[in-house]
Amino acid sequence: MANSAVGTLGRPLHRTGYRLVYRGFTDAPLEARAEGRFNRQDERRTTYLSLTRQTAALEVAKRWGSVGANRSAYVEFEIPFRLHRIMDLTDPDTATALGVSRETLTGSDLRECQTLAGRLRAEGIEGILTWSAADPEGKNLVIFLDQLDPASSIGPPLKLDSSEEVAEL
Amino acid sequence: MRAKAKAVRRAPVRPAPSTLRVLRPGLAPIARLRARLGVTQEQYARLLGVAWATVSRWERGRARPDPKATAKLNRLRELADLIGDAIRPEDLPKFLMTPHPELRGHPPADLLENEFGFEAVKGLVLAAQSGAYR
Repeated sequence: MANSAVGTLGRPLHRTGYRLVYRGFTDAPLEARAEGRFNRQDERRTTYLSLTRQTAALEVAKRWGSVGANRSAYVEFEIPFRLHRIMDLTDPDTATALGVSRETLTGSDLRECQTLAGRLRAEGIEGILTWSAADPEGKNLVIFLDQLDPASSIGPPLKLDSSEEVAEL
Repeated sequence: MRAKAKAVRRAPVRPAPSTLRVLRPGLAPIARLRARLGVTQEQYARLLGVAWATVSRWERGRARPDPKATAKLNRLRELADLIGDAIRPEDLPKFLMTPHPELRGHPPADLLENEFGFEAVKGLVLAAQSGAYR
């Protein structure tokens, strides 16, 4: 696909996302401080949101492997966003146009996802809507914080009451 | 040789493993770290890649860890600090000893042998704490 065509696939997305961070990281709750599926170690200006609280909880649990996370040590945030150039990789036509499959987007090899993210960043895309690898029913939004359009916004993050938790990690 | 034997005879008597929890404040650093991890001497030995008897000798002050084991103990301590209570304390031994898919199937403890492996484990912990999805 020609680079110029990629930008035309971006679409607006206005919703609310969720993420959990360890209590020591609540000063900057949007910042992913390590390598993730769509950011390399040196690409820290990326955040990951889930479209449901359940998916957010499962994403954190997955990273700890078989032991899961200590839910009481994590703080849950609700984050509203208004974005204008989101690439929806859960849309079959968009995924086909970009040559990616759900298996690629949730598989164990991250290189293809990170390469795709780099390509979309270069095209001015603000983020990616993609399938969750932790929750078969879930979707995540990956936002490139350094790519935000002036008309786009994210946050402020609102702490949620843990007594309303929806999932045991 | 004779001097070494003398040193061994003068070594302080360390508490028996079963009394670790009661005597924790006064424990030597090696035993204190084990108490903090909540593992038996046998599990501790497995974490560190040494024989159970070696751990026993360290805790009784009959021997000292060599530089390689010291480095691993320091990394283990740093890792426990980094993890904090992000996982339940009782799950820490299991986390350390269970093969992890994001570490190419290695248990985190096995990667504490060198700085390269240690960085990989720290990266995983930071990602899990700061919400970098995988």
